[in-house]
This record gives sequence, structure tokens and C-alpha cells, in this order.
Amino acid sequence: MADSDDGTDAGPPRLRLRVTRSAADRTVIALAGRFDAVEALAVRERLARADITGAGHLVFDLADVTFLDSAGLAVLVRTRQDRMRTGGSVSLIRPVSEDSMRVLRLTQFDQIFTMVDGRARGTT
Amino acid sequence: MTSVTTATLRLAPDVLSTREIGPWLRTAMRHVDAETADALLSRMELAVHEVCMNVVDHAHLPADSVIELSLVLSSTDLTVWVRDRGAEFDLAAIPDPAEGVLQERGYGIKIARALVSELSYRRTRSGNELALRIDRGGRDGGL
Repeated sequence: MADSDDGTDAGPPRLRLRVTRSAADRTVIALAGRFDAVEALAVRERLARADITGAGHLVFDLADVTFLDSAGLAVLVRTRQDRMRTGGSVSLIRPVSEDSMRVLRLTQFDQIFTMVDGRARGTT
Repeated sequence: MTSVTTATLRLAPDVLSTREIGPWLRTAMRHVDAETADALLSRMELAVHEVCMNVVDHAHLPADSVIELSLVLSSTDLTVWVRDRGAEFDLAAIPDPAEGVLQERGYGIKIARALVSELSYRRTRSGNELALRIDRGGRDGGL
């Protein structure tokens, strides 16, 4: 996982992750690339840092996620469960990729999570 | 004219090696028209990925063993076989997650089942064999 927005690392394509605090208690985690078992642990570790654990309301921006597997889904589930225990929330910005969106549909994540249209990105 | 493409791939049983599945499938489908290849590839890559992750996580493979993949692409379907020398398991006994209830684990086989036309398992003398078949010409089945 590249914890930046340049994405210029050599080697296999890495998931890019960028964290943006868009309001006092709302943080957007933008992911781009493959959100799979290769990347899931690094994402979990990034989500455990204070800037994210201190935010009550998280938005995963999945618009640029091109491949999503069950390990990526597990990260979303765990994060949502953690937030629900403390009165927070997790919502998802829809992937543009039909392949990624299909995974959310067939697991019914699109019905359980609050789904946000990508055009709302950047809203503060 | 009947054209059949075959290919094999030996995967190390680790997470990073699953990244080899997509390029392998793409190469096997290089002579197929782009629309058909994209439709087959996107579904088969994830289905095979999930099956292989299941092997990595649960099969308890003997030391130095690999996951062996083979495929046949015919005019009617794309079939991928995933073979390993791990512990026997009962595919039919793996439940899908409950409707409308989030859980961290258990989505892998559900995803694989949903993406292919048929997912089948048999125990062979040398280990496990999963077969994933996607019929050509079918669409996404409403997913």
C-alpha cells in the first residue's frame, strides 16, 4: 500500500490510500487500485492510526478501486463494526468499476452500508 | 472451426502469488475478442483468486507443495481447475453468510459461486480439485 497520492513506486501495482479530514468528525479514506488480500493488512494497520481511530464517521471512497476481494470486504466489515460500537458510522462511495460494484451487490454490502454516489466526492 | 486453448500455472501457496492469476488468464485469452475476454476475465480472475485464497488460508498444504492451475478455453466455456495436495474439505458444507448480516469471514466461496456458472469439487487420489466453469455467451446473471 502506498500511503500517498503519487503512486509512482516501481514494482507491482500497489493500492493507493489517501486520508482527508473533510469535517470535524468526518474522514474520507480514498483508495485506488486493487483492494485485495495482498493489501488488506497494510490498510488495517493504517486504519489503526490515531487520525482515523479518532474520527467517528468514516467514508471509504472506493471510486477508483478496480479489484475488490473478500479480504477487502473484511476490512470494511471490521471498520464498520468498530464504529457502530462507538456511535460512529462508515459509508461507501460507489466504485466506478463494474467488477468492484458487482462484488458489493452480490454480497449485499450495497444494501447494508450507506452508499454514496461518487459525484458527491469532495463535499465538505 | 473449433479452437481450444489450454494453459497451466503453478502458484506458490501465498497471498502475493494470487497476483499472477489475472495476467495468466489474460494471456490465455489473448486471441479472444476483447469484449468476451473482458467479461470472462473479470469474473474468473476473482473467482479463482477467492478459491486460491481459501487454499492458502485453510488447506494446510504439505511443505513445498504448490497450487496447480489449469484451464481450457473452448467455444462454449472457460473452465479453470485448481488442484492442491491439502486437507480434504466439503465444499457443499461451506455456508453462505446469512442474508443481510455482516460478517468478516465467509464471503470468499460465496463470491466464487456467484461469479461462475458452476463451481464443483472432488477429492482425487492426490488431493483437492475445484473446477470453475463460466459458460461463454452468458451475461452476468443479473448481478
